[in-house]
Amino acid sequence: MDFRTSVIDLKDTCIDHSLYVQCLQLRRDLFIANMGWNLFESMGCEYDQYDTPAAIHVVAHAEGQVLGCMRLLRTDNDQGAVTYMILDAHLGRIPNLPSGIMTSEVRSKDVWEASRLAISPALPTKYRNTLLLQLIQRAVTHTEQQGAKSLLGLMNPAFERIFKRNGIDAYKFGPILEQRDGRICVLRLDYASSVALASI
Amino acid sequence: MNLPVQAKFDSFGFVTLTKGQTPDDAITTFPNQWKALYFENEFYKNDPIFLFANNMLRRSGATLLSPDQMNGDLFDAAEQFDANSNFVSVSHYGGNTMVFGGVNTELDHRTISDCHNLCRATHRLDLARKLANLTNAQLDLMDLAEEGHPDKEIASELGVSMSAVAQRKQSVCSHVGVSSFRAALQLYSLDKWGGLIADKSC
Repeated sequence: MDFRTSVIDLKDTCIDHSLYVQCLQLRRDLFIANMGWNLFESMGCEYDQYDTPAAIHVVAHAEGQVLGCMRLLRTDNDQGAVTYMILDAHLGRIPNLPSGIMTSEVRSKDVWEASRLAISPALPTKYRNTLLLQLIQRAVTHTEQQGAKSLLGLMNPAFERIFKRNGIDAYKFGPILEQRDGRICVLRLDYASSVALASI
Repeated sequence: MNLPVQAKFDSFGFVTLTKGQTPDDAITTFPNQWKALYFENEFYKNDPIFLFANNMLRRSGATLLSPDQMNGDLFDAAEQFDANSNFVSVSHYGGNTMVFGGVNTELDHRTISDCHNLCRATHRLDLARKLANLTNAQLDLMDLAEEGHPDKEIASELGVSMSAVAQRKQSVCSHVGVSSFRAALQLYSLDKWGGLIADKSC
């Protein structure tokens, strides 16, 4: 299957609005319609306090259709009572997420978080790993250009092994927690020690 | 364990049986003391929950027990262990059966289907959680199978024989408690991608 990745930065004057709206619609389908999370929804889209111009969106798409997306935010983001999703969850500020999820608090221009990772059901199962890895690689390329050295993500711990198998140095950066929707933990990806990312 | 049914019942428990397993050997969330008393008193002979499960044959379904069915020594004894039920759900998945019993006195025949769906989701989740204990070799097999590689390619990629691949598949099924590798693979995808794919079936 032929798909490509794009970066959507709301600060750019000529972004592809259709891709951006599809990302928010995919997130609505996943997090609200499918998983039943109590999130804000409007006009068929899901968006929250982290969807500001500081956020960058990485999108995988084919023939104009979004197949997967994730949102990136620098961990030194500070909007008063709002920082970034993983830290705010860690501090107990997000009702839908558990607290105490990180080994230690991170606030650094060198570390970014990836959140709201969503994949379309239109993507056949056998391409899921490939698409996820391409999203990660695009996120790494983009954030590395901004000086990033690591990426944090809250996801199923099964992905630690999948990342490692594909040459990405990923490790647990907090406890594994049992949630209604399955197991989750914060994974940290370090760029410098990742064989697969060195070639990007 | 955080389960989808939790908010719906004042108390609940379930029994899971793999193909060919008898109830006295089944895995259960009910207290051991209750399990011992249940078999010691041969309650299973007249238990309306297991009678319903047997009558369902290999079909999934749910029902509410009538006051007459909940009258007797079995329910008096069960109450002491929070093991009584007015709602029963039977779920089948890949050769594994879950018999669920819970208490929700507000349910009626129009609303039990929602609870039954939650019970089925609980069954899949309960099975999927066993995947957390698979070895790395077994998980590599699952990833390659998920990517659609035929056994020959999987064997080549993992550097093992075709019979070793077959053995690993069998071992995964035994570990999870299902009789079909396809069902085990579906559970693996459900667990891995459940929070990332906008599709209930994953």
